Amino acid sequence: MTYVQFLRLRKALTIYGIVVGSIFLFGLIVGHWPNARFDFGHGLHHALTETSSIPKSIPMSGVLFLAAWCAIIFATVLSTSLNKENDGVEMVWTKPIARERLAVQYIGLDLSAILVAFACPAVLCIIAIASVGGLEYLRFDARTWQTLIIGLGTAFMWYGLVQALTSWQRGRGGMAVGLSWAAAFLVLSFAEATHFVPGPLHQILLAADVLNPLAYFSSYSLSGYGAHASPVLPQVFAGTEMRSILTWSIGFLGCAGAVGGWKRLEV
Amino acid sequence: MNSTPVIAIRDFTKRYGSFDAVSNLTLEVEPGSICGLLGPNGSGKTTTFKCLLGLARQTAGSMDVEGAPVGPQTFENLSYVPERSALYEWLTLADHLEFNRRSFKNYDAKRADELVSLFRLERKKKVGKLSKGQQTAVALALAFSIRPRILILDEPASGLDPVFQRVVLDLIIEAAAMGSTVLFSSHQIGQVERAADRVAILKNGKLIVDGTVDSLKGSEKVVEAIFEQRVPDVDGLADDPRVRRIERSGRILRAYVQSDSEGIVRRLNEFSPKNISILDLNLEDIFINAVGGEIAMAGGDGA
Amino acid sequence: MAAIFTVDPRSGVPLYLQLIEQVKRAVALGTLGPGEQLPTVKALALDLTINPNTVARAYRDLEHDGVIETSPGRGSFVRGDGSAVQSRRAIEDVAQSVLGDAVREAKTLGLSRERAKEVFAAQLDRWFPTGDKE
Repeated sequence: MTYVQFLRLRKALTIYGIVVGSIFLFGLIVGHWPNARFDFGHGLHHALTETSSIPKSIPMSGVLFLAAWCAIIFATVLSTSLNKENDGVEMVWTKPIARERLAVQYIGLDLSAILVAFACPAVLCIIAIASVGGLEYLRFDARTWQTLIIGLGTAFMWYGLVQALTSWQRGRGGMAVGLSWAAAFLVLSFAEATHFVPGPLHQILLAADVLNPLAYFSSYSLSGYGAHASPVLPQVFAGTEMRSILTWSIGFLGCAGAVGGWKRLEV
Repeated sequence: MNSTPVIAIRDFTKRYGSFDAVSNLTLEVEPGSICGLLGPNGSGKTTTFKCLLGLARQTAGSMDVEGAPVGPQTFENLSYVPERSALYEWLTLADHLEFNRRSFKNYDAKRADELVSLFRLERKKKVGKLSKGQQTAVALALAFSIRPRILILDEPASGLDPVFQRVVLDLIIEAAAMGSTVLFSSHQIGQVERAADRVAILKNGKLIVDGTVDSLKGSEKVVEAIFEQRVPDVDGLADDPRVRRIERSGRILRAYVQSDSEGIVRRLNEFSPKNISILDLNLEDIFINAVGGEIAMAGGDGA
Repeated sequence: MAAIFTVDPRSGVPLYLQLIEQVKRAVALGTLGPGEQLPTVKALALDLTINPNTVARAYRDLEHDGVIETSPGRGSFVRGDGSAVQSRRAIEDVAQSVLGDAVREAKTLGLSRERAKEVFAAQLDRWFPTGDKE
């Protein structure tokens, strides 16, 4: 019953693969341009092995951080899958399957695709690191798992929220995704600008950030690298564990709301 | 026959805000019957289909298919062709057929092949690149490919040329001859007149005519009386429940009768007309009289 | 079987009545002989592109009128027994209906009862010349 969604995801993943792959290849070549020769293959390999700037320690969390960003972008692209069916929803609603079940299957397929979208750049990075003999320097630590969980959690949360906002509407899916990005960045930026935003308004922004996936991911990365207490989320939600749980919970609630909203849609 | 109706709509009302799209509709379709739903645009045909199939919720009343409200299992044996295409424009006919194959236990690949060649369709072309008529044909091929027990078709011949329109009628008739039940709407009265044994006419969300095509043709008549001088005042003729409306022009009185035309003839004979005759009406006449007639009667609506 | 009947769905006359008349006419004219099989309901419905239940109703009425007989699983056949009587009755049914229409039409056109009688007599003389009595 999910055949069309399967085709849709296959198409999306193909495009995603091409884009990520090209960016990656481009990055590699540009990154090593001074040493690169024009004959590819040997030249590229030569260029990579000649590079002397391999750090002594490569944090795996950094690789996953990059992968998470890719997965988040991809997740927002998929987040309107139920909304996409609504223009002509008669097609799937007159198939012998309960709507909730179909919606859950759609979401399940989407989440699998998001996992693939997460794994793809991570694997590419590891291959690149291996190709220059840096595999032994790859460092796994607690932060690796934190990045994995909160990175995917952020993607899931964003996905769930946009689903909840769009599943019960006809059209306007693309607009919702675009606006979600704009809103995420705006709310986050103003919430961070503690010096310019007056107190009460800042409190409101902090509250709004509870539903801002970007706040969870960026505050996590800020607190990790910048080593300062993030101002973008209320203090109640301090702590990576709490935030991870929140992203996954909000994502789950969003998906549940989306299924309910979709089921009650009238055409 | 006292078989349970396949489609049973009882006291169905659908309200949008303060507007009644359909009010108090009761309609039953017997197994193996073809019911044609006629009505001007906006008379509530599509709304009725959508509520019947659970695509929208009724405000009041009950709507059952095979004795129960529509659920996922209903669709194992039911095909719906909506008025507006619900196909995936970015997919081909082959993709759509594959979707049907994976979705329905009853999918019949051989039947699908027949239908594809019957409508002269291309399997590998994206549906979005097809004309409106071809898209309709794709939707119909999909609908009939599962050999459904119940067919609900909203304007199934729209955009098709006359040859394919006849193909659609043949498909509907064949399905009914094999025992399927069909409920379809159409603007082409000739199609309903041929294919349907049962006809229901909606106007402003109300059922104004309901019966078999043959019984309507047997009872809906025009009694035309020609008088020597001028048309006499026939007391209360316009309010007679047997009369839909009357028309006077010069020395001619025409009464559009919905039942017992002989009785109306006897009544008019008391005024000794020079000549009186009963004229047959075809379905188009009946439709126009019923739909247009209500406007004419709106002023004297006391009954 | 080729289309041996024709009906006009756009006419105001109910289709099953048209079909009954067509079958009776075919039996009367011998187009359909005693014992001959009629098309199945499905075949005839598809052949004429009309509703199968309408065809079935016409067949039921024809059976009731003793023109055809239907045996389950085998199909419908023109009755063999006493088919002469049935045919005559069928002919008369058709003839009566045609004459009835003609008289009604004459009246609609304004012929008086007396004038209609005269016209009718003239037509009788034309088609049944004296001495050609049955």
